[in-house]
Amino acid sequence: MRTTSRGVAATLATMAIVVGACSTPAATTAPSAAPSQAAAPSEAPAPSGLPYTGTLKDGSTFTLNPRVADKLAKGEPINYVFSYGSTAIPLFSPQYKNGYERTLPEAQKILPMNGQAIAPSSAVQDPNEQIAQFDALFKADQIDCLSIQSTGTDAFTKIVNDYMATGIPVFTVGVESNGNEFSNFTQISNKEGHQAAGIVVDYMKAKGLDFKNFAVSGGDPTQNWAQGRMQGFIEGITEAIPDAKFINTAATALVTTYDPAGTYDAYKAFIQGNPEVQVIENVDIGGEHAARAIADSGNTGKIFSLGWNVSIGQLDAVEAGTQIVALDQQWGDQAGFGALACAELLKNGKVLPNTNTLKPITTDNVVQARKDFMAISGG
Amino acid sequence: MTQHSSPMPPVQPPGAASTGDRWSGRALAAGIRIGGLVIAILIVIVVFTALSKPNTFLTFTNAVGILRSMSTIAMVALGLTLVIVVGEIDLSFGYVYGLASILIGVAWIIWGWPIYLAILLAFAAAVVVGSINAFLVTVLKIPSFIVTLGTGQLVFGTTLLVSNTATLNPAYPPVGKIVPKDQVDWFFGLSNQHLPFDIPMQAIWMTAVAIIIGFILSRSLFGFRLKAIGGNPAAAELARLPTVKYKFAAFIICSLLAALAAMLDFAFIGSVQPNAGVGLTFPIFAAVIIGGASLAGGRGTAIGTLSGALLLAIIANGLALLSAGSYLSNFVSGAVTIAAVVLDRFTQSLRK
Amino acid sequence: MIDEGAVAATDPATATAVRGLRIRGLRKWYGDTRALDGLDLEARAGEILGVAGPNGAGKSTLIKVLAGETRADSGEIELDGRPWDTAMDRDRVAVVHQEPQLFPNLTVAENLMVGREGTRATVRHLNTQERSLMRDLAILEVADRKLDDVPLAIHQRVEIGRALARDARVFLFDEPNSALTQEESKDLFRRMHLLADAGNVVLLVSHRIAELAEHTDRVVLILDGVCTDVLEGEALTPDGIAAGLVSGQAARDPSEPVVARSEGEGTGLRLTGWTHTGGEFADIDLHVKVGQIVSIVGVEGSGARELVRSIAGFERTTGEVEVGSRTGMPAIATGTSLVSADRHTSLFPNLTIGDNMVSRLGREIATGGIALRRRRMLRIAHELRDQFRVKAASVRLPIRSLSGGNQQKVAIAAAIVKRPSILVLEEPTRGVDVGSKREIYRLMREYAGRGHALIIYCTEIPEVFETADLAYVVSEGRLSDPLMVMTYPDVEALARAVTRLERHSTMPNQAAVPPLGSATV
Repeated sequence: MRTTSRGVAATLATMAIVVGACSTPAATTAPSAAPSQAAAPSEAPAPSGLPYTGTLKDGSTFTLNPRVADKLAKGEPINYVFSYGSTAIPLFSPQYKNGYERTLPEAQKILPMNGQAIAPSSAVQDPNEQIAQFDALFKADQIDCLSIQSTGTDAFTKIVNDYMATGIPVFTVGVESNGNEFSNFTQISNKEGHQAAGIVVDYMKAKGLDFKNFAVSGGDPTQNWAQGRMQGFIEGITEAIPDAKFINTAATALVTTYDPAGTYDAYKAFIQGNPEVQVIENVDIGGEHAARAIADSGNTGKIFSLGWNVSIGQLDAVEAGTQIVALDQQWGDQAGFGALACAELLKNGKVLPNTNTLKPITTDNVVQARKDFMAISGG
Repeated sequence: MTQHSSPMPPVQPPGAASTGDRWSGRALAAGIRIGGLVIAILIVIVVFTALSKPNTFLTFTNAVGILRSMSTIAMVALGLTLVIVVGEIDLSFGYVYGLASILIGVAWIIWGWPIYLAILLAFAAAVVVGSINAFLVTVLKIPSFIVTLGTGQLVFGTTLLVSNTATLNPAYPPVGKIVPKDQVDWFFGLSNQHLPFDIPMQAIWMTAVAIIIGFILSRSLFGFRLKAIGGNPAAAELARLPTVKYKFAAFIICSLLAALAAMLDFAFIGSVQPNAGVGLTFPIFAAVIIGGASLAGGRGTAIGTLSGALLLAIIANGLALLSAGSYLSNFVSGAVTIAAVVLDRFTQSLRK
Repeated sequence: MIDEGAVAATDPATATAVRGLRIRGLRKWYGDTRALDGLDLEARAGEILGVAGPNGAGKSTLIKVLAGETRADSGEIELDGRPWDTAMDRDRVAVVHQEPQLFPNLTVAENLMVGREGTRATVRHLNTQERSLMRDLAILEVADRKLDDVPLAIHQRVEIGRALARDARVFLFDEPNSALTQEESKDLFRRMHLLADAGNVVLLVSHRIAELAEHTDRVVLILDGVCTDVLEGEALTPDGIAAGLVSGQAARDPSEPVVARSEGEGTGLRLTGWTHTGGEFADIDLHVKVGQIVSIVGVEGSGARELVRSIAGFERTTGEVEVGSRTGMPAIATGTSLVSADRHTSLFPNLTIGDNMVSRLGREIATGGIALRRRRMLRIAHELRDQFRVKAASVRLPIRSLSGGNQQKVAIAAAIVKRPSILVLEEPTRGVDVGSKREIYRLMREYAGRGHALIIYCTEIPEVFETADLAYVVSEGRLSDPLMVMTYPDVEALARAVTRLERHSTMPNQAAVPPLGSATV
């Protein structure tokens, strides 16, 4: 999840834990240590191939959970559950909810299923809380197929593997994951960075500009995906422009926090201190404030920005010409993947691959992007 | 700082201005405390100037930027100072900030109210929250730490409910909603007037609030009694001071200032999101404590809180200017907070 | 009694063999105030040394330095011939304070053990020595009760217990028996003698001249931060001490007759059917006229203290009350002001002396009730300082810089300046020196004379004798008939009369703490 902010002050983290404890409706059970169901041999001769059997990433064998196989045989609807990081994160939560709702009916046409989307409502994402939520359902045998929006690359690996070992199919979305899941539908952050670099280089050539000085920034640069996007960008730029100079690195990236005014102040200060900068990369939602800081300091046309995700402010900045590109991770696609993936797997034995593309929004397509955005997240 | 003029001043005839009594323990102590902070601020300025590229940190433009960035924190911290002086704690102001900005956004943009009514609604909500805090603390006698932790969560839940986690921008209302442009202009103008020397408008608001709170704390009966109540609640009871009324006032003022800051930030940025303000709790607290207010109650000044907010803003500005990175930023913030408090304790013991 | 110190002290060559405490040239300044101005003192091992002096003379500062709570600015302190850094080496000294400094949220037993719990992870229990100590002090029965729940007298004994349990070498007793009964005082002095006999250094700081004369071997007089005289042998008599103390001070002539006052005019306070909801007293009818000073006397647990506090509205009561022309709780709220026995609840530690003095005022010090009039506050503070003779270099100093007696004067001043019709005082001269006591009595009489009434909870008959017009005795929640104080020829006669009115057979200022489970209130 791109907007996790766990690097903020310790006090905030403490409060977050309290917040999380107060706001989780589900039982706060610890993540399951060991799966309770062993795969029992089915009575009829087992059909071969997926979804009934298959080989996983780590070489182990997957055997579909008999309860689920039974439902498939009888044509009963299966229980699909989508767990994501939070219902309380602006821009992210509404787009995720919308994506989930969009694909569920399509998936239901392929395979009868009951869908349920659950997420904690805390302002700061906490994997433990998220796991506790869906683990409660799992233990009650209420999950036949699961899609998890991971909020940390390794935080969910164990639970994913445990569930897969009991024969419950799991897919992960949103963040790179190293578990045994069937598919990890996400951006690869390093590739994203390269892609962004390519777009910037193309822009330079198209406009006849000569950029030499670059900088990287983000609300919480310590996150894996943030690091990936910064590192990929640095690599991509350096390949294309050998004498490019990076004012800071992924390790010393500018920290803006996720507070809008604070982000603005940070950019204002950074530009003040480094007037030679020409391109600033923001790896999450703060790009719009960079654009405003550029304008307020009188640097329009001299300093440019790029950012991730879609928001009105960033679309404005793209239209105004200060922001080169807003990169849409297509959160909606991530959220909607699980239902379709479960349906294809259980009905047709097909594993949908990771086709999450990063959609660049530039002056070419900004108008349509705005219409799409308003349709999803208005009110 | 006042001058010491004679070792053992004679008793003054009534009515004479106490020029001979200028040896003022309290003013001197306050001076030393502020002095400690001033030293800290100067040290930080010198360090950052040395570390940054020439003519970048120590410039008028940058100072103006710092002024703007300290405004929000200072405004709310000044309100929190009143609560701390009277011997209580408020942990809900960050969430009140969020609720206030969302209420303005939702009422104005979604429900179609005029902006002035929407603002009134937000302030009314702040008064309600402050009153609930005060009621639970004074009548039910629950420790304020717990009360405000709880009300903060209640408020946050309300914010999410009302906003549906949407981000709202009055310049781009959702399909089917209309926001009159003159109201948008007036609202944005609250924080975005073009002033001489590029002084940020929010700094003007902050100064006004500082003057009022400063007056309250140092020159009003209300402030005098706040300090007494905070310093010794038992004695305040014996002295028949209106403790309940005053605590209500303190909590309400703190919430109101959080709402004011939220409104001004909304006007400045131009959009609002429901998780705004959550991250402000620590810096605002730090500003108050660095500024010399005692968590035990009974001590606190407006100038101290302002200095605390200024110190924190300078540090944040310097770290961003130098792009120090996450690890160093957090480390420095924490270290400076501790150092400022230690310096303060040290200068306090000097006056003993 | 071991008195090696005396022998060695006469031979300078063997000065290093002196056992005991020796202080030379001790100086301590608080801002401009010279609390100690070159104090010399010698306390020999094996003797009880009395320390006497008016408040503000430096006794408390001396105690603080010896206890290691503050550092002297210059001077030498030697214990048994070796230099002693009191701030570093604090285990050698134990202090029993004027106002007990204990932990109200812990139990009595825990309070006794604080600081000596050991290093085991589990809470330890009292050992035999501690149990026997607590039994002797009659606090063993309440060992498991929270300190907050037990009366003040027990707090004192816990402090004493703490000191005794610590095996220190130097024992400082600072007005230790102000809330003890005669029996308990006797017991305390017995222990002090035992400590001295065991070769320790024992110092007793006290205003009670009779006790100093009886129990100490020598008495040093401290005035203005120096030791002015050492009394021993023949010179060590109550009169000798009294004379030494008031030398140089404007003293009141003890033979000046108490001016007979006319009966007060007008209704000051009237209580009818006044009953405590907690059961401390019941169905009390009391009438105090304007101009009268009324003492309410009673042992702890008799209901006397609660009655006095209830007059200012700080107890839950039912019944009718009239103050002047008003009735009910509003009458109490506007017409009465209480100064409590415990200074910790009557002063604001974070405020200056001047601010404390005006702390109960409202519109008087603020225009429109909003803006403070600082010059007026200062003027009032200066007037009060003069009127009450508060010994402070400046009213802008923190209240903590004052000695106990001066703090008490400030507390009373703060209540008086509000001009309540009924001034309610709870043990107003507890822990206050002789000179300050006289001043407070004078102020009380003046205040009464100006058309107000005073109601005082008193535990000391001499004070009743000196100040009151009428004395009522409260016993088991009931009010006696009034005694006309003026009609008694001397303190003893009054004391006998008071005793007769009490149900107990013991002397009146015995604050006998009823043992747990007794049937009394």
